[in-house]
Amino acid sequence: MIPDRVLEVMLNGYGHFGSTSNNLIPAHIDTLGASSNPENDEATFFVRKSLAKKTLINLDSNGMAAVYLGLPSHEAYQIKGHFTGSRDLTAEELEVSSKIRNYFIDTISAMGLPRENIEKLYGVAPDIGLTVKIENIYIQTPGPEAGTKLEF
Amino acid sequence: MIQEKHQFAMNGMYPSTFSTCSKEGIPNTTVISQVWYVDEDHIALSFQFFSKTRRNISENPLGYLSIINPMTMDMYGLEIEFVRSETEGDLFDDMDMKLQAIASMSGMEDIFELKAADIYKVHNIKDINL
Repeated sequence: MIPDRVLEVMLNGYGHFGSTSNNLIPAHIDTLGASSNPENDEATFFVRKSLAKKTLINLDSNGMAAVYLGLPSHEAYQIKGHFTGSRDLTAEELEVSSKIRNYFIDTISAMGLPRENIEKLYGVAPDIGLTVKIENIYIQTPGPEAGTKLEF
Repeated sequence: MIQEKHQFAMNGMYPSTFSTCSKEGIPNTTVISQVWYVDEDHIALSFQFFSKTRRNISENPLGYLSIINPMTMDMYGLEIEFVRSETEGDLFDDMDMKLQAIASMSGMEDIFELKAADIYKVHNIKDINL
């Protein structure tokens, strides 16, 4: 089972989905929400297909994924696993994404950054889900426990 | 290679994302506090923790970095390659001072410590069209 705390950050924080090519050139893309199936240790990360071309090529050829999950408090986790497939997002998942993207827009614009520009990144809905079978989870919060593997 | 528009995305106001991979091809993605302009072909990243990123770079020097101009939210993707680390000198001192300012603003004074300024060659920069 995915630990509750990791689920909390996965579902309410921001994320970056990493992959790598067969010739060891890494890539990543921002995630715009996530859903999970804790019982089989799978999670689906929402992204924009137009920004995910390299990621999809990497996943189809190599299959290995790493996802950074973080909160503004600096609490962060790294999950590692294998890509199991991509799919359309459900209406419920799109609603989840809309809520978290609006939260990001409100939070970042409250720092004084132009809202209309933040919406270029977070105002557009994701249109594909990348599903990962989670095999390892590591603490990535800066500090002495960073890098520690979580048992689950 | 690195233009003025890219330097606006290196001011530390908005976190950057950095990906590496091991020699077995296992990726690792993290958020970094500081991207430092060195010259038109090189940047420096702050090395703060003995991390998976650091181990990966020792095995495979290739990395991918995305940076964001915080005012325009223009995003850029950089393909980079590790060159060397510096643990003293003007670059290290400047990065250390900036890191302490970032740490102070984010309440991480006791956590953020610059161990080295890692210098990377920039092979390619692309606009990420949002």
